[in-house]
Amino acid sequence: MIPPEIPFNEIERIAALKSYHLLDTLSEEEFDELTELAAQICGTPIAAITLIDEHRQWFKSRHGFTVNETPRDLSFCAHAINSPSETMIVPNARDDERFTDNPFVTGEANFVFYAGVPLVDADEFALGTLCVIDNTPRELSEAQLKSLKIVAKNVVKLIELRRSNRDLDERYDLMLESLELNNPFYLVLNDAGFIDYFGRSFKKSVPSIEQGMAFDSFFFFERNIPLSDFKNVKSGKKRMVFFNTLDGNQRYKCSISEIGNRLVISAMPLLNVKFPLDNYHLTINDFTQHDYIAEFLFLQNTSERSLKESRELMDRMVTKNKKLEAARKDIDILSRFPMENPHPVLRLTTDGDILFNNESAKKHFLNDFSIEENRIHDEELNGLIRLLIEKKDKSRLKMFHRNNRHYSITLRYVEEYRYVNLYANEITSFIEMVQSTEKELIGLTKKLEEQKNFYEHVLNNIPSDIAVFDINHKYLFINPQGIKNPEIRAYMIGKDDFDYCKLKGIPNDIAIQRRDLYNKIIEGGEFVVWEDDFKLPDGSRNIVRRKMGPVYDEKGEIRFLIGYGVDVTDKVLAEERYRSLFENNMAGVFRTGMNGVIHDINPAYAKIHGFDSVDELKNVRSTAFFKSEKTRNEFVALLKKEGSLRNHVLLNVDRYGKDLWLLINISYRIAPTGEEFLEGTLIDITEQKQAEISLQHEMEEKLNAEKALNAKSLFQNLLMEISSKYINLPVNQIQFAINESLKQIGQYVKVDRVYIFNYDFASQTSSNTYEWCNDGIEPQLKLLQNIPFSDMPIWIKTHSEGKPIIVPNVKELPEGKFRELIEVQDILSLLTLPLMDGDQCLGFVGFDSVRTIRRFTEDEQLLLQLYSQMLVNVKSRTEYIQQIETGKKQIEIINSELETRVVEETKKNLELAKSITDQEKLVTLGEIASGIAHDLNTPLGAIKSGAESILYTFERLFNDTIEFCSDEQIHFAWSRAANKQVELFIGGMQQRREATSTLKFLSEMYPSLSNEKQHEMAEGFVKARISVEETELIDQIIESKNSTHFINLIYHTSMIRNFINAISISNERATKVIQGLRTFIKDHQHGTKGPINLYKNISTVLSVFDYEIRRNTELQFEVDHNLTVHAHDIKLFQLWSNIIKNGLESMEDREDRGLLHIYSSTTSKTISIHLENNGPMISKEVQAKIFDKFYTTKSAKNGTGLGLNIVKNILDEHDASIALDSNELLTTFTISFKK
Amino acid sequence: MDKLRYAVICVDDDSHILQMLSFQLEKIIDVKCTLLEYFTDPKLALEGLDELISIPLDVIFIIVDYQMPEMNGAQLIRAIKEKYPNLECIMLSGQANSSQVNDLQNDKMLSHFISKPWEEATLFQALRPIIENKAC
Repeated sequence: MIPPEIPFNEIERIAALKSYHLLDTLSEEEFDELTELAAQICGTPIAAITLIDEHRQWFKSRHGFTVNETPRDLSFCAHAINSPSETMIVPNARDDERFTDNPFVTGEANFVFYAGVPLVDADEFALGTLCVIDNTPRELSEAQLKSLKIVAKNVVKLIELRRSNRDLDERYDLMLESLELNNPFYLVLNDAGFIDYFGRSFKKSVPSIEQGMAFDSFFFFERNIPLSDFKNVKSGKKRMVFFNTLDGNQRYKCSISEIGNRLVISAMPLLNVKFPLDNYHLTINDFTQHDYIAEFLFLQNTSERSLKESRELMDRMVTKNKKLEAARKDIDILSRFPMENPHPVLRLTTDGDILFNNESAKKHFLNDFSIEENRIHDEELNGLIRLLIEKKDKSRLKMFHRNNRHYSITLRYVEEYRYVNLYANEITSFIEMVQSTEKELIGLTKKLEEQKNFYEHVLNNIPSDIAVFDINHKYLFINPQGIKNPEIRAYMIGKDDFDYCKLKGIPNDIAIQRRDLYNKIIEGGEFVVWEDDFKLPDGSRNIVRRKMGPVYDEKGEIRFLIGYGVDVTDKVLAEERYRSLFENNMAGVFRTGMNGVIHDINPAYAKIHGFDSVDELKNVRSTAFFKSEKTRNEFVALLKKEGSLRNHVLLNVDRYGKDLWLLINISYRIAPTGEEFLEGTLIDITEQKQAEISLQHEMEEKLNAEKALNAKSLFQNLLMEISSKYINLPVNQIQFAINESLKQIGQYVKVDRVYIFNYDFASQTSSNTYEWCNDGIEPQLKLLQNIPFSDMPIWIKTHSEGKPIIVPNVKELPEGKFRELIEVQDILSLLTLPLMDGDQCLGFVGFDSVRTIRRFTEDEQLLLQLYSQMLVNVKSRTEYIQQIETGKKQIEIINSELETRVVEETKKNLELAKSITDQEKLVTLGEIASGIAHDLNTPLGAIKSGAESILYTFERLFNDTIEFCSDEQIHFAWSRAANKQVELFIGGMQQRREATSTLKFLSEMYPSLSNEKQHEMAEGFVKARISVEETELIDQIIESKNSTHFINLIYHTSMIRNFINAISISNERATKVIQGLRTFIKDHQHGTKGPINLYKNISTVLSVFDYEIRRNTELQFEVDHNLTVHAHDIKLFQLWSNIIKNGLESMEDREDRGLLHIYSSTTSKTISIHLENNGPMISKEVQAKIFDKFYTTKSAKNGTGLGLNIVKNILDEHDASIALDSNELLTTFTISFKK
Repeated sequence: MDKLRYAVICVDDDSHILQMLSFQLEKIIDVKCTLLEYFTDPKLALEGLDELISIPLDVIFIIVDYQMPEMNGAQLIRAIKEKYPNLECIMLSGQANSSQVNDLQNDKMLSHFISKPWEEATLFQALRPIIENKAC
């Protein structure tokens, strides 16, 4: 046995293997499927995915055995991985020196054949193999090898995918971590108020905090604001509030926003002097608002200044007091009454002997300054006195503090008398006052110092660099993180970066760079962010994210600049690592928005989808790769339901629309910013899928081939031939065909007779129906008819049970009726099979051997059974066909009946059609009724009133007039009325004018007449329409005795005549209307066409609809006045009526006024009328049916459904067409007539 | 001749109707002091009205048909009412229903609507109070 060699890159290879975290994991279906597939492809009992670890080979998946791992030395696969690009094949391990004595070969495992494809990852590390093993020597075909390699490739993909998914999870964690980095005091609450995530720093201040616990178990909001109050606060519109720990010890300022269903609380602890700084992991974020730094610098200034100021104040007070005292002393000296001075006064000789002291001096002074025996023993005072004398100063003042008393002592040297006067002043209370003030100031200063120190402490403890600059870019403050050496740190205050470089002896590149940034900030007035990437001496990297910007004072001027940095090395390195994984991964890695917008993908993703680079996918959505909208929706729905999908198989398409099978891992995630996204990995398993599919095809083909082989058995062929014959045969030839088949079968199975018996259960008899006999064999058919069942009970019984009767040798049968019956026919061997139609036995088919003993093999029996079943099928088919024939006949009968019915239906339809026509008429009649009303009512009015007036006039004529007139006069009046067409009536003005002129005429012609008579006559003439030119008549009237009556006679008679005329004319008019109506109602089919002016025709219709149109519609009527078509006018009337009526009704529901616009247009061939309304749009479905009879969109009460159908019919009659165009704004019917 | 003080106007495009009206109106109107004027053309009627009023005559009422060429009765009445809002207008029409007539009635521009064919009594019943109000 030769143990496997160790690969040259073993250390890296093992590291790579470990990075996949595959070893010692549970079995996974995805891998097992691939193993099984490998076994299937190669037709081996064993297949496995092995991973070669340092000292063992471990099976990620195994098929056909149960061991988890084996020593590396015994591993076949450990050999295989040494040639990563080749498939290792061991056709017979027993002949291979590497494995001959391998216990897996010699032992029970009995490994003989081995083929292993190394699993090589993207970095070309052979992690293990996909291998197949058999217990016999063998080989693999080209196709099998190729398929095996494809499966191996997919195993690698799957492994890579797993790692990618782990990376993704890590990345997500990183994201949460970066949230922490920005603010360790954050809380994420779910919608029930329980803590989903909390920043690390909370754990330090509130140690009992745990995920899943309620927010209010630890904190409360100030002013008792309930949590629910923060719902619906959109992200970006944060709400600022305060909350406290339950014990009230710590207060937090926070902003809250709702993201998804969660509340994100971004908190900041409010620092105070008691603030246990060490407990917090302070980050740069705590200082971004520069509160602390500003505070610190302010306090630093204040404490120093206040201390100085208090000192100055004190000095000023002392000085002021001194002057005061001096002035008083002068007065004392001048006073000649030292005894009365309330303050101590002494006089000494130049030798120090006391010459005099007053009462006040005796009180304390002598004691406090140890004066005894007329001498001062206080050294300090004596020294002062000596100094005074030596220097020959005139006076000197000094403060002394003795026995809790303060004295201000003034000495005066009086040279001429050579003595010293001492004036003391006890100023204890004053000094105490000053001192307490000072103390207070110092206390305050101390407090300020303390605060300052605190902030300094805070700043010093921040794990980030902090530096504060004055507006000249000189350092004001640096924290220890910025410069660790305290001496250098102190030195740098008031200096700049150039000084620093000089100090360190380094080139001032960085100082120049910083100065540029500083200038940029001063100019822009805003924060600048950059990253410093240092290489440390040990070779590791240090990446610092820096931010520098201005801090403004209350006047809006830059007070100082602040800069800080945070170490982001870990984060950046993690991101870079991720990025590199992302870029170099074989699996496609993606992050997309919920709408499919691609945020981030790696090159593998692009490649899988048929793109050359990531950039090409810039404007592509991942939705483009789904087979259909439906598949995407289903996928997203599933994803939303599950939250994430692991190893989901999805059939997508690539950029060219080619099928793309993907194995997808995908998660629905929410970023800390609240953004929803999808993240995951995918691998292309198209090859595998296609291999699977082709394998399936192959297997099917194999099966088919086998089947074909079986089918090749001659007998089956025969059966098939026969059966196919039956299928195509007409029923009348079946009998012949059965006989033929009996012959073929008989010849094939080499028997002497084949026959069919029919069992007739009704008559309890059996008959031989078909028979074939070999040459020289006596036919039996005619003999074997109507055999009673009682003669063959065994047959009936056995066959009825569906069993065959097999007699291999008749001679072996026991004596009896059964044997007799067979022997009679000279049969040696016999096989009969029942013809079973379901449970029912129809008869049997029999095979006799007369000449030789014939034993039917089982196979033959089976095939003959098949034949018998075929016969049954034929029988039922025959019956079926017969039934069909019967059915056909019935159908024929029904058909003929149907014809009759159709005739009846048609009749009914015709009747219906007639009634429809009637209905059509009614519809139109109703519409025109109102129009007719006027035309009819006007003449009727005239007739009625005329008749009444005639009656009235006759009454007047007969009662007052006629008896006073002669027959001649009566005759004259009537003939005048009959012959003279007088004006019907005249207006009052004209009457007056005529009366005046007539009066004038009468007064001239008949001056003898009385004035009164002239008036009466004039009026009468005018009324009776007797003109002055009718002089003869006038003469006659004036000369007659009954002139008044005569005029009346003439007047009334002509009135009667006129009335009769009016009645007659009115009657004619009414008759015309009625006639028109009659023409329309009764004979409108037979009416003749004529030239119709469209303008007039439509105008008539519009007048009919006048009321409805005016009610709620604006009418625009713009039809050319000169358009004429050849048509039935009433039919056109109907046409317009219907369309206008529909239009008006459609606009009824409008709130504003509807629009009815009727206009015309012409082309060289057509004249068109457009009827446009702004009623609701007519949907496409309705448009299709709108011209159907009885189709109505109106309720049953309002619509007959006939309107537009009438229109259609009329149009057909006029060879005109209608077009309908309907949109949201307008619905237009266009009627076009041919010119 | 008596002093003319009043006037009455009838407008109908059917002269037979006007004749009937004139015959009937003369029964209840004192023609000695009232001028009865008839027009078949509504536009002329409008001019005539102005003329009568300028004489000056007190126009007691005007009877108007609805369906007339060029200008219908409703339009005529609106034109009249615009100038002489207090003039009593009576419509005598065969029209069954018309939105314009409805509008007129709604706008209180019609003193009466009498439909054709009409009863003399109905006409008189409508006119009498108007005439008596003028006391002539």
